[in-house]
Amino acid sequence: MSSTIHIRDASELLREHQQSVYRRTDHMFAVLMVLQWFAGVIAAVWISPRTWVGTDSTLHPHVVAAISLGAIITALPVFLALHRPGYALTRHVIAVSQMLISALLIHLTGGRIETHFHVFGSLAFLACYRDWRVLISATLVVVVDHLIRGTIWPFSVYGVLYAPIWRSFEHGGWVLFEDIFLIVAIRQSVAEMRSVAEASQAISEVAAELTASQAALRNQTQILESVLTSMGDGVIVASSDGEFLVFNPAAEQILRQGQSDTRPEEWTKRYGIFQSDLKTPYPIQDLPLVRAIRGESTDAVELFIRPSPADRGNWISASGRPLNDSDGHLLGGVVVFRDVTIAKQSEEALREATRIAEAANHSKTQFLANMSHEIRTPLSSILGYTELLRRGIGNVEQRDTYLDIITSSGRHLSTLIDDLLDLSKIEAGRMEFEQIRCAPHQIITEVLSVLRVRAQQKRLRLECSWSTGVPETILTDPARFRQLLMNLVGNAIKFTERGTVSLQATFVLDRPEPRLLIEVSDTGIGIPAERLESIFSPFEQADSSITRRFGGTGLGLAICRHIARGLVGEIVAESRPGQGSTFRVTLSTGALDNVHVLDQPPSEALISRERDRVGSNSQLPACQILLVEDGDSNQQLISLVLEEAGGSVVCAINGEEGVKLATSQRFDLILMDMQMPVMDGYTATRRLRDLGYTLPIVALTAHAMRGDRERCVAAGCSGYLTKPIDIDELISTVAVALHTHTSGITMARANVQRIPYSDAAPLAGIACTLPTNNPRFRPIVEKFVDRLQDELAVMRAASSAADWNTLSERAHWLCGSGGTLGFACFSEPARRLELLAKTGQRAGIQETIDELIALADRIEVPT
Amino acid sequence: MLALWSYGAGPGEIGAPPASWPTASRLARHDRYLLEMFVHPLCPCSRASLAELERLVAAAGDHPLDVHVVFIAPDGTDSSWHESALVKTARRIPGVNVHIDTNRGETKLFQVRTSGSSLLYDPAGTLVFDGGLTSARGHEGVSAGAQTILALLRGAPADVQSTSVYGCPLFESANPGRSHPSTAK
Repeated sequence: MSSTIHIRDASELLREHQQSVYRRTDHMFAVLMVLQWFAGVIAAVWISPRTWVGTDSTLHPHVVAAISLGAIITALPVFLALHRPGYALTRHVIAVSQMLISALLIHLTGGRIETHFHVFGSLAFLACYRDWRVLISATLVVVVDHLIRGTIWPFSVYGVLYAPIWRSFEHGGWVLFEDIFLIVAIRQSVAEMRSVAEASQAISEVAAELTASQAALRNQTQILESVLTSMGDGVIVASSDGEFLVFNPAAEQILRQGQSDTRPEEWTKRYGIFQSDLKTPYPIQDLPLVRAIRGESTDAVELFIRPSPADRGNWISASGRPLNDSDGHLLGGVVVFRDVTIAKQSEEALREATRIAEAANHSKTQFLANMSHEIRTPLSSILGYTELLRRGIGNVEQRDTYLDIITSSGRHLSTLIDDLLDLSKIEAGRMEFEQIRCAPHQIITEVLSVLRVRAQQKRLRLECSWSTGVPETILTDPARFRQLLMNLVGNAIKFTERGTVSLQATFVLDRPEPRLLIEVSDTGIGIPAERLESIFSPFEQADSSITRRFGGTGLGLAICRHIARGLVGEIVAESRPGQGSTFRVTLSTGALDNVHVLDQPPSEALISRERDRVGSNSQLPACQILLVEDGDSNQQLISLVLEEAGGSVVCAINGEEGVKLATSQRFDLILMDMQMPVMDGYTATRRLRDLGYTLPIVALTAHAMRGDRERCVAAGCSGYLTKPIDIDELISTVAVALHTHTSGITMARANVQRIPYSDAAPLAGIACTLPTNNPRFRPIVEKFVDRLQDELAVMRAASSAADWNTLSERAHWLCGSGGTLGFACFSEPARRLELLAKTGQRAGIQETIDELIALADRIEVPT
Repeated sequence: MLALWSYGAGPGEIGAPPASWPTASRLARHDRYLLEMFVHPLCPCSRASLAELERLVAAAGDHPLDVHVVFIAPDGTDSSWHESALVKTARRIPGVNVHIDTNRGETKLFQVRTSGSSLLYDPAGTLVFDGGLTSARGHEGVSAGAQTILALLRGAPADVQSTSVYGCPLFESANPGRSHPSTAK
């Protein structure tokens, strides 16, 4: 609220005051003159009511005169006083009229000298105007009246027949004599009025300043109240005797109690203030507000507040300051505090997180040490045995052994890298899960078939049983499901020295969502109870000695848990150290409409035999295969491999030619490169499917990225192989596709085997992994090596010319051909180069080309 | 004001008082001056006459003077006449004899016409002055009548023997009596 005071000038105030006096005096005379008139009439009636003629009488002329003349004299001034108060004319008319009344009274009283006092009284009354000019008007009337009437009718004025003129002057002189005193008094009064006006002006100015100050103070108070009300920090102000002066809402909220009349000695108990042990009442003399009242400052004092035993309590951080007036006298104290419970909890959580992070870091360091060991061990074998082969040491059987060891070591490294990639995907949150209808019994059987050899090597029984019927198919990610089972069963075999590893499948229908329960049990070393949960954390194993004893990355179970959850399930473990462990995995089966439930598992032997027949002996049944591939090196190699395996191959160089051949000849299977000129594999496959082609089409793609498979399947492919081509996988996939193409789609995942080019020993030679001693393979490899130099020159030129399309095409060729022709070390840098070229990223292109050139320089082709 | 002036300055009708003391008068006369004033008891103008009379009596001091004030009391009048304020005033004047002239017998006897008419008889019973003691109706103050009476009492020659009388008529019907200003000796 704001108010302003209009400061008026002193002269204005004086004028206003004078005007007020004029008006008031006008009104006074209006009443006075009427009263005079009445009094005159009454006096006339009383003194000389009638005039007599003997016994006859009439109204006395004095009464008539008192009524009529009095009315005439009184009417005008009274009218003006009532209707024009404050005007100069009004008061001068009043002055003249008043003097005329005096003259009338003097006459009516026969010129009695006493009546002349009416003149003096009237002048005194007129002085109430505090306007000396009014006295002059009145005096003039008196003097003129005395001079005229005193001369021509002295009896009327003086009651004598004759009056000398000096008497009139004397009367006038006495009137002037009174005027002098009255004028002096009037001037003094006006001077006082002026002083009052000036004082009023000064008071108004002071009042205005006070009003402005009050308004400013109110505003500041309002602002302060708003701040105190809205701020999140609690604020309490107390006087030096402990009386609360301010207790803002935040303070009430934080303390959960309002302002009270308690003395400082009771504050600790009243508000439940405790020390950091949460039990001991806080010493009163140390409370920040008490110290502030004593004149001491405190900063960030932590107190625990628990107003009642039922309250959970909270932590506050309080700072106190003494309050002093402008002279430095201590008035009291103020304390500002805030709830720091969450901050303290966060601090605690941060400490815990730091501890966990440090532990994780320790685990990671441990893991890296283990990984180093894990990687270096097979790497040493690979390098060592490769060196033996280079030096031609050993006979044929020994060399075969060397090659088996190198292959085994490479596969182990591949597994390690796969685990690491999976882990990185998990940590990045990028592991994706598909929903594909697949046969769980088939996946279980495949896993057991693969691992049975390992179990047999350790003389372990590997058993499989169903406690209930199992759906023939479920909706899940078969690759991840297989990976999960491989991990669990592989672990069981790894950590079991004797006894049995068993897998039991159960179809659970006790919830709205049907689930498949897989229990993998072993009779191995077991896991301590306190480690049962931590083994699912990355880089954690039951014991660091486990790694040294059994190997492994420590990532398997972490990946398993993530996979299980990704498949809308869970994995738990129970174990009795020394007796064995059981891992239970539940998986969502997805919708099971029209899905048949198998009562018992199909014979594993049947499937194993099929795989052995088509995969292990690397032979194909007599079949006609159409190979659609634009790369001549790949075309030659794949043709050679398939023909060596017993197949018959017809080649097409692009999709269009492939479609023509497929529709004009009978083929048992088509191998379709997906990226070709003229017509790519996607278009060709779609066209064939559109034409009603139902035989297997296996995609060949250099893109091992997730999503490529979906594109291939969407185009109509029934199988999927990634480049570089693994010969065994190629033959196996073709064989399975030939065998099962009528019973459903089998997606074989190619295990990419790469040689560790980047971590290889410096300047070590790179040998082709194909059997170059075979006269049919050797020319193909030599041709690739020759072309490689030309292609690298083209890449370098394209890079210099910023011809990213050419560079991308050549890199794509190398990515697919290099691995297929036994030089997998080119695949990764070539894929990277292709990506850089496609995205036009100059940075890194030249380095990658140099890397490829360096690799090419290290190629050794046996002569 | 002119009407007032005319009213106040207009003298009353002058009667024809007997030049010698009439023996029929009921007033007692002794061998001394006798001043006799006739007053209408309700005449407001005569208040001034009585006031002047009081001054005159006071001024006369030890001079041998009997003063009589005769208030007319026509037939049918009541106490408002007989005990009027003027009557009471006259009675308060020391040495003044107040008379109520029932039926205006004395008044008629002395043939005065106007209230305030004053007659001065010397010790021999001779009328030495007649007239009023005021100079206008209801106006006190120095008058020729009062000064003449005092002069006669002191044995000094008088400038006038008669002055105008200012007051209410004592009789209802105007008689064609004298109406003239003061008469010089």
